[in-house]
Amino acid sequence: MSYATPVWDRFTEIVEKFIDKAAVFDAVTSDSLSYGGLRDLALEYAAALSRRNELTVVLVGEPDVRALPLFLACAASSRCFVPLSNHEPVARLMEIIELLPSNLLIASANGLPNLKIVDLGEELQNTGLVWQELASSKNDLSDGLPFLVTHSSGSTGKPKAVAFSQLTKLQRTAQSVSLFDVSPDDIILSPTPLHHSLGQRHLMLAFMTGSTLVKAYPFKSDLWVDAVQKYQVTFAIPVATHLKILQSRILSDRSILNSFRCLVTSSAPAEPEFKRSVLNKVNFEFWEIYGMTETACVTAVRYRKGDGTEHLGRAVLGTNLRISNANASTGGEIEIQSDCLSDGYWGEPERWKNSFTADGYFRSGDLGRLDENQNLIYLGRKNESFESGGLMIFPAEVENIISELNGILDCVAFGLPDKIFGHVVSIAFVGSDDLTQRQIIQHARIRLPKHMWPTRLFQEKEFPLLSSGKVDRRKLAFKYSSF
Amino acid sequence: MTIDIINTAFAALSKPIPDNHTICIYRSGLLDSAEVMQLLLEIEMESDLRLDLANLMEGDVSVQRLLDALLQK
Repeated sequence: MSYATPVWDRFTEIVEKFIDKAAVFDAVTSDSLSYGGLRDLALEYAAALSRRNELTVVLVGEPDVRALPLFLACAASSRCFVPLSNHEPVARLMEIIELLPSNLLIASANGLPNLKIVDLGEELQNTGLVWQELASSKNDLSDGLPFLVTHSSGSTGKPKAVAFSQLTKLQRTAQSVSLFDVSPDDIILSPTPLHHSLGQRHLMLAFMTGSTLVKAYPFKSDLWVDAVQKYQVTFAIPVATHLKILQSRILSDRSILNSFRCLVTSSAPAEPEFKRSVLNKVNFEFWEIYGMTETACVTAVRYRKGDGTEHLGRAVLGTNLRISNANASTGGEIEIQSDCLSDGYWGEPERWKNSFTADGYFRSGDLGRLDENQNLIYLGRKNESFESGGLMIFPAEVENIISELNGILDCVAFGLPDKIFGHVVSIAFVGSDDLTQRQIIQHARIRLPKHMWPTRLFQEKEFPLLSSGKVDRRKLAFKYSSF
Repeated sequence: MTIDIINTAFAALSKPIPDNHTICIYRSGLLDSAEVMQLLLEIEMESDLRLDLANLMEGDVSVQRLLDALLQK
């Protein structure tokens, strides 16, 4: 079976131009690789992979600089690359792996239990990883072999194995390059793991344009700031939660971000007040994008001082957006057509088919509405909205208003089950020490309609985060479910 | 004094405490359901106690029941 390799082809063109240039720095270890070094390692690994019959490589855990070329080695050798988090319990990890419809080579730091260790030769020993094999009970590649598989919704429910061909991945990268004018001059910071689509976006943006990638994983406030200053970072797409953790430092010392050309917040929409406060302090391009692993970027907006920050912008070129059962007051599910759609859920064609409306729009699972200028207003995940006293509550609306208050660093709204109301509106917040619950509730009563007034308030020192950097909302709601 | 806590809670909502401590403040129309929940929240913040909201809301919500609930804590 032979496949086109446009990602590898593009990468080799880049190497020709930038052979001695730094391709990647690891801000934790200070290791680095030039474009030439990256290519040479990728070719060595690809040669070793090509001697095996398995067409899929699973990488468990975040690769260091020695292992990172595996991504490109898979592109060069027409293999499928499946990065997975090492924070999953082993049983769940095995469940995900066993669902993959292909014989596998599995690389991890310490090996997985009950799998046969294999010797793949000196080249792959250099990755510093333990290599194992697993024969799939399905091994059905009749629908083709993707280049990359990203598992979304990793914390809850049955994960979806979102598949991409090399061509699709390259098209999605071109979309970001075009939106944000990424060039070889950029230094791109990634605190996001490679198993997350945002981590892949950072990597692809760097390696497909000849810019330099700075990996600073796992995210820590000090590491992020140090990396920005040491490497003079110009571009990043942080998740909103990371930015909020950084906000007191960013807002108190704007020189931290002096090297930036463009910052794009993504993954979970940031509160309007927070965006306003950042916008008023910085002089670089400040964007927000909305999208998901399956669709790439759906809307984008570059905020300018004085603009409203309540919305997430309009549909980008090549994308159609609509709201199902549109209702001006309550909104509806966001439905999307996109030129950059992923290539399906690997091994689950029916599940993929069921994600679309009869007329071909992808059902996002997000709720939103459009303002008079067709800008998207995000209202939260469909499964996070809840009824209270017979009225729908959209957490994002409550969170946006509570976050207006000085001293609120982060806020999550959720419903706690209640015999009378169905749910009572509850919030967990991270705030300054001098902020009182009474101040919060008084602000809510002024700014929110009655049915959205919080009844339960919980203060946290910090929120639990998923490895993607998003707040683990379910964990928070579960923690307080017995109150 | 527990009655002071309840007085303060009503005042925070800019509502008068009813003279009759046995009437239901919801069914009498003094407060709507959202305001009743806020009154209970105010009492909790003032007293630093957690009330059983579901239990309180199941019957008549009177000043007397609120006093009893606080005294039981």
